[in-house]
Amino acid sequence: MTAAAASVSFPTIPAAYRMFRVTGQILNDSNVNTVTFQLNGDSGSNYDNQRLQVNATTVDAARTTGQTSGFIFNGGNNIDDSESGSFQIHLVKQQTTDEAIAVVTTAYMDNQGTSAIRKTDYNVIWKNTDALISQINIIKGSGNFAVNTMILLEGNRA
Amino acid sequence: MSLIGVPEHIATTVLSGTAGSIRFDFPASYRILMCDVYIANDANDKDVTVTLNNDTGSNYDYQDVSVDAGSVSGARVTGAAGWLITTHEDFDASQDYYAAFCVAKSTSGIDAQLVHQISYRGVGDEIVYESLIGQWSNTANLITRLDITASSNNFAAASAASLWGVRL
Repeated sequence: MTAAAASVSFPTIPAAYRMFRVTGQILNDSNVNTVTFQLNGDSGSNYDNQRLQVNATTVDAARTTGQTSGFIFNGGNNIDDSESGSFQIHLVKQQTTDEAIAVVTTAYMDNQGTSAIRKTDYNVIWKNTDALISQINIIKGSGNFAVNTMILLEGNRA
Repeated sequence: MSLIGVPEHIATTVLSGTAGSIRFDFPASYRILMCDVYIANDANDKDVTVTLNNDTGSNYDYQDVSVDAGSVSGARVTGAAGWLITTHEDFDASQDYYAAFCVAKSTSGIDAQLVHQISYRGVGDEIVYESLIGQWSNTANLITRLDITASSNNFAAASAASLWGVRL
């Protein structure tokens, strides 16, 4: 990104694409907040998230259903101010009658590096079975993604 | 021709004989690196470490999670000399190993980060899941070199690695 922005959108994805990989490094501004994703602009309560987080030797899990987005950095793993975090999402929706399934892996430093690195994974189900994926939005909860944030979208056609 | 934002195949190395490491050198314009690693089996146990820019200083942190049958465990290492992608235990003799990972560093002056997407190996009749993320706190330079090193014993012939990169 050459300018700060609150979201990154990949619109008008042809319906032939059914499998995706999204890779990114988020550079944060001074706002501590979430990074999530929405598909096809759907902000309804259609996203179920299952988290696995590892903080040193502590492993914990949490399931949150009926959310308005899929989680990347969320809750216990918000990106703190002026910190960066990297992620990779594998996403598939093969046909309209199926739910979309995403596997999310993230790397980030907690509390501006004064605490050590944590790992968080999510499995996300998008329960909207109406449409194939035509849009992917990566969204900052508040504030902006800073300059030099980079997000790569790759897709495989059916 | 430079392909901005398009993954490009940088190189693939397939070992014709034993070797202690697999090394890739590439331009600094690559800011996202994707690597697939296959380690062929031989009679020796070995650990596998990833380093950037030949930096073997205490600049690598990583957080691991592994699942071995019904046991889930985590491990955090800070100030290491590389990312040990076989943190759970070393790669056992006579077993194959596969790993896929991604390293991102969008600009100089920030940390590079590792997302170790998938890693598993058979230990006897068992299969172990391991996943790891990491941070390289050497902020001065963009990445121009990546080494995959066997910290004990050599990689066997037919071990292979492919590296892909995305330019900005």
